[in-house]
Amino acid sequence: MTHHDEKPFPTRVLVADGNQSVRDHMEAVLERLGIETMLVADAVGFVSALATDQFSIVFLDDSLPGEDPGNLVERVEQFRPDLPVVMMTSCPSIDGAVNALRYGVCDFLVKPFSLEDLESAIERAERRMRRFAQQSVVDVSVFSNQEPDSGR
Amino acid sequence: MSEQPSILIVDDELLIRDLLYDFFSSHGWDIATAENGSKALGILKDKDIDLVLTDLKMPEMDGMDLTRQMRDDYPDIPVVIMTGFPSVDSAVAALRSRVADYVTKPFNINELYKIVQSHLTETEEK
Repeated sequence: MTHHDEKPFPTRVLVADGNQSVRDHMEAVLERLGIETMLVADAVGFVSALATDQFSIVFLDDSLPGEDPGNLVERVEQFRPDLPVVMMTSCPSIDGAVNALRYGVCDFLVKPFSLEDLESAIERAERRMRRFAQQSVVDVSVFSNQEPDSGR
Repeated sequence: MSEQPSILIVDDELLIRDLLYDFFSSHGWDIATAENGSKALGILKDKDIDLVLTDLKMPEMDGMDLTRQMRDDYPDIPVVIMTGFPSVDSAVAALRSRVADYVTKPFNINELYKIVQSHLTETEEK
């Protein structure tokens, strides 16, 4: 999951879930994996955490109190377009999974999920972040190959 | 992307292939069709395709295997999955394979057109 001479991924994650026992369990499991965790219980705390802190993954429950999950994923894109979101649900449905796909999240976990599922989600998030970084390098190199604007 | 979008339709049901072929062709789009994933991969090797619209359950190579193969070989081509047998598991597998959309059959063809159009526009803007 990690690369030599690189900081381990992820370093700090945001867990957003309205259920206290889920938050506590996620914190305990992630800390056992050596991952620092910030917990929030509603949409206000979620948006505030995004605005004030740095994370490498977001775990977002699809029924977090306060706002529609699609809007919250959009907020993540506004603040940090490279930040992978893993959506979690206690009530799996086809519509819920298809909505998550359309929001563009990198994984969808049905609670209760196993440690293996959690680790796989973290790996997917890491791959997504890497793809995003590679894409950004390509975009920058496209711009740097352009002729400078002579009018400036 | 060329002026007219080039779409590959993959479905083992001839009726669906014909319906989609006629509908998208009537909008002036360039349409190729295949009856399974392996034939679709053959077409992708020979032809520039802007988007793949594929059924999920097909003999030989199904839509999910086609999508996984495409993520390696054609990562930038959006894939829209159509299925008459939707499930949470297949929708999650589709999400993990980074498909652009997941549409259940029977579908409203005008809605499908809007979905395909929006993913083509999104790709063009990238």
